[in-house]
Amino acid sequence: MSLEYHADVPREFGKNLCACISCHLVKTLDQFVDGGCENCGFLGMEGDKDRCLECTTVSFQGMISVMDPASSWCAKWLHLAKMVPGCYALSVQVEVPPDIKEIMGENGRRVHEAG
Amino acid sequence: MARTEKKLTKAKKQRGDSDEEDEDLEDDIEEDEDDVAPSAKKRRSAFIDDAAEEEDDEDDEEEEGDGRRGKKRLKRSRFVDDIAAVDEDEEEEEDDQDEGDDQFLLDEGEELPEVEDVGRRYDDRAAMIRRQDEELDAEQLEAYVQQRFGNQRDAAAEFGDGIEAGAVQQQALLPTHADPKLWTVETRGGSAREACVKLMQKAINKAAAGEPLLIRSVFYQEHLKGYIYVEAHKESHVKEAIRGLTCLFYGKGGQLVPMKEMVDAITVKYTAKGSNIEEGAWVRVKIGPYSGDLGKVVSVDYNADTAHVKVIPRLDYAAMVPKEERREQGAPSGRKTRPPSRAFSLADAKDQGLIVEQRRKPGGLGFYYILKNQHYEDGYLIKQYGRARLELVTGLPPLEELQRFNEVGISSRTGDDPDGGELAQLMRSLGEGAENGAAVRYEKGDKVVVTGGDLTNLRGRVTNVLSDGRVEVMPTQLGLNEALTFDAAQLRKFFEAGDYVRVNSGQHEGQTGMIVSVEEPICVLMTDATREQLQVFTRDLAESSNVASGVDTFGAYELHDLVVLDQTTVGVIISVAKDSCKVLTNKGSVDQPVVRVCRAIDIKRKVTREGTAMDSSHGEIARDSVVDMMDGRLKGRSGTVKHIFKKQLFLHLNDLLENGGFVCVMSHKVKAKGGKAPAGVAGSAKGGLANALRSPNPYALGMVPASPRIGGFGAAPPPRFGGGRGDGPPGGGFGASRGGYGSGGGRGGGRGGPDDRMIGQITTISKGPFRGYRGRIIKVTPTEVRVELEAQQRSVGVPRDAIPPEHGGAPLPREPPRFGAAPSTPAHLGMATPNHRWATQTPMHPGTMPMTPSHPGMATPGRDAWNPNLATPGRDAWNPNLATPAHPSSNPGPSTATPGTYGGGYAAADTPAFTPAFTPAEAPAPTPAGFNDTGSAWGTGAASGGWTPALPAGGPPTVGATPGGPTPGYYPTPAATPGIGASAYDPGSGQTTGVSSGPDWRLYEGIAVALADSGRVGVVRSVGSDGVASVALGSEDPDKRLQMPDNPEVIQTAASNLQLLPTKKKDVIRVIAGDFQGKMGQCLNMADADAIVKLDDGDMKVMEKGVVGWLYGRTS
Repeated sequence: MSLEYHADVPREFGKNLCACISCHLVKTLDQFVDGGCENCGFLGMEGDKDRCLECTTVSFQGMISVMDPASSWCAKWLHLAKMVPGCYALSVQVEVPPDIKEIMGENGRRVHEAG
Repeated sequence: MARTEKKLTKAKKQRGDSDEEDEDLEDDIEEDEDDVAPSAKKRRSAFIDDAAEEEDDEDDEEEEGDGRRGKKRLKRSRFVDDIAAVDEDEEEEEDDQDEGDDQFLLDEGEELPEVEDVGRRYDDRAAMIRRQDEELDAEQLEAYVQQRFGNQRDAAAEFGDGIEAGAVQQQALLPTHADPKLWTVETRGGSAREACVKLMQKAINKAAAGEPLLIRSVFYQEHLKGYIYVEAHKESHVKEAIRGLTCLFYGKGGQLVPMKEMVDAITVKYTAKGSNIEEGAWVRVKIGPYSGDLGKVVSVDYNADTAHVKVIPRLDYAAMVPKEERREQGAPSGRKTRPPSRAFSLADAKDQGLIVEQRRKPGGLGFYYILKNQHYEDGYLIKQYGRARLELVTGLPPLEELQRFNEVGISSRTGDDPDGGELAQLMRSLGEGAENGAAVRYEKGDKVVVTGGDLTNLRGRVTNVLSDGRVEVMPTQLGLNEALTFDAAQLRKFFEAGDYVRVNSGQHEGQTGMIVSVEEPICVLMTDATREQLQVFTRDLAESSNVASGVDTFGAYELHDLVVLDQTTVGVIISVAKDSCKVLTNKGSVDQPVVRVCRAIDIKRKVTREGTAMDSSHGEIARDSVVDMMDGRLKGRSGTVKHIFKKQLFLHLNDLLENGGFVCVMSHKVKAKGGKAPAGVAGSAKGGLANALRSPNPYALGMVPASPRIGGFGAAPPPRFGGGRGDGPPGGGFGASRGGYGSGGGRGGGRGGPDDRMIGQITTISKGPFRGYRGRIIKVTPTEVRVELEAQQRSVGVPRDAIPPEHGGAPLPREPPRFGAAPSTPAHLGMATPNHRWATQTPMHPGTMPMTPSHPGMATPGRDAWNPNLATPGRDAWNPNLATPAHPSSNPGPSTATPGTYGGGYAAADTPAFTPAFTPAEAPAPTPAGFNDTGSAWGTGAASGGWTPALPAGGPPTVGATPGGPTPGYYPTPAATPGIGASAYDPGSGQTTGVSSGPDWRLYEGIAVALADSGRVGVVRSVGSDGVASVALGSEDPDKRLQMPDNPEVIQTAASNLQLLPTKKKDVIRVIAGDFQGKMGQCLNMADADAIVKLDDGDMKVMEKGVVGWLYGRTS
């Protein structure tokens, strides 16, 4: 198990957390702005707050900290096996804007719609 | 498992056996892992991932190979004959080592005990074999793996992508034994998320320190408070991970989640709060100035977890004016009270000098307004709330609120046009489809007017509805006597004020009433049941001669029940609609009654036990006491206590129009009239309306404001009889008869009238050990009478024949005599029951009794009209002083025994014995039974009076005929006279519309019934043409289901004495009345008042319970 490369750990546990709508990675908005999403570089969130707001949601349910995506059954079940270790939302309720949907599609990401 | 085998095989191949025994198994194992070079391991784990899921693949692979599989097995069995037994454990162990912890485990001293744990499960030989792996050097292994599985690894990589692309079903990912397990760990308080994040951080820190945690993941679910799940292979890993975290209970350790439940554990339950708040949902605001208010979600922003909600603004425009200005204006400052919710009003805001910004709506139509940064649209405030600040309203919000809510939008949209507003409101409250005029169903007999084509404005009656939807109409204009065919779209139903109609659909379905005014497409009708004015679409109406009592049961509750709404709120059900009822609660006062609209779910239970209360002078008040109001706007009025809840009384005032005549009053604000409890001899409360209310089957809606005339709405005599319309003294007869009739009917529920009238009488016991004792009759059964002795503080039961006959002592005969027999007691049996349902039929009555209006001065009906302050007829029934002497039952003298007396007005005139209070209403009040009791001809007279109201069903020809022409025996053959038939037939609120037909008693054959007189149950064997039914008697089992003995007792009884027993799901039934009369079918389900029936011809129908008879013992 390698934790050498991992996503930022959320700096707080409260309501300020948001989840990447593509990979469900959970961090604070500031962390997204600072570091982008470790899985979804293609969304270009780093340094772009508006983009971060667009590509993340605060409407998520449950959270999973994946220490070892490759061997974790949970990660597999949630299709997180290829993601970097980090905290993810179990489920995200979101309407993905069409342009982002397109980008996600191009990058081989499935779109989990709201509901 | 496969992997282990492979390794073993390989090890053996390469190095042969080793006999060395090694105690330190874990080292053994770990080293095995550690030896594997990272690169090899990495690739291998990629494979393993898939191998765990798709063992088939692996198997295939192996078979594809060089037959190694078979060889391997052979070897294994040679060396380790019991390895199969530990297969699973071994595999897990293997996985553990394989996938996990790799190089970091090297000198992880702490790991020892745990692995040892596992190691103990191995037997020595297994250990021995495994140890061989240890000596396998990394390069060799890698080379081997490379050679052996290289190609598959590539496939695996592709496979993984496949998962990402959704090519593989989630099913393939179900947990296997090879996967790590889930353990629940308790958290302190609600810190699950914190625990997740902290564990993540700990894992990272530990990994960086070279002592990685062996857990794979940690997650929590919103719906499972107080727990997190930890994914790991072993509990010790879990414990290690959670050690030292204050937000977790280390001591409690982890609880293993069974593999079957793993998917459930990780699946998010969408019922979690806030998640269902979607566009269009009804919500309640939880916080802020609108807390508790109803709102409708306009839009949801999932990303921000907020929703825009439409609420009715609570604005205090005056308070919004800046303070300085306010002071200048001298307006009160700092108002604390919460402003009422009202539609946003531009005018009001401008009156206060507030600046309102007006903007055009994005769609182009109309404007929205911005006042103080708040957004107002169509009178609503559009406010943004976090979704967690909203509470989803399950189902539809309470009707009242919903209507209020809808009204806001309507009133503001239509501006100053109140009519339009109302119309739109109605459209809205009736839901979608109202506007676009969903297909109108025409029925035979409907009055229609042609709205299109050459014959526009032609009026006629529907004579037939063709299968293609076209409608045959017989014009009513002179000169046309051929039926014409029209498309349904060319027609419109047509009603006139005064028409008597039934509502066929919508919220008010089942109500009947008279049309007060017609403003196409809406008719205003006044309902029989509640005397309320309803607005209904013309298309939803059909002419009806039946008078429905309205719905009078509401789920398990009945009209006028005292029910509990919440811990401190109780109330009386004062009216019942299709899916809601109105409850007068104890939260209001006499002057400000609080009425809540409740749905079944809002009602917790019925209050069955009620206590007593003290009046202003500390006299005891019990149920049915008559009390005077000492206070408030109803000061001086008297009412009957219907319910007592703690210190609050629910009184019924018979001449009060609102709230069904009920008021809620504190007990100390009333004074009991004439001492306590029910008045003695046939206390009016007893004889009349009281019973109507109390009876378990209070169909007697006559009790509802007996005299609607007082409140106005003029004389609206029955529509059918032109002669009766508008020419009598305003409705005196109408109201009167209703009241009286209702009281008669209210007795319902099985026992006959005389029994009830016995109650309360003072009698002297004439036989038995208590002979000579005087006492008050408190309870009557068919065989026994309970008498509260005056001389002793107790009540005793005595046989009925111990009560002197003048007090109704003789026991009730079981069977009524056939017609022709003197109308003695049993006569009522047949009559009482059907009658009581028809309480509200009476309105017809004046029309059919032309004499009533013509004698205004003589009888009370007239008096009412002229002097509303005098007791209305209905009220008489309540007033012991007035009613008593006139009460036929207590006064069974021959003086009353003139058939002619029925005529109401005549009665008063002809028979001086009658007090003026004795009104036509009163006459029929005690059902015919009462009169029959006395063995006088009265019975017939009264009976006819009682029945007459229904006659309109038969149409005008019966006018005048019936009152004069009752024969003692006519009732058993109800079918003989259309009018009578109609009244005897009781399909609840009248399934039939238009021309109703009498019941065909023969349809009752085989049907489970209860006998109205004795309450016994049985199955109808046959019904003769003379209306006498023979009934095989059975019994009720604890579930209230009929059970028939093998050799039942068979008795004869009047057909009209038959009451249907309730049908249950799956019963085979026969429809005994209505459009589907005679058809058989099966009951699929029961709703509140309806049965869902599948007829034998395949049609599914919803019909009222009252027309569905249970064919006992038949199965489909």
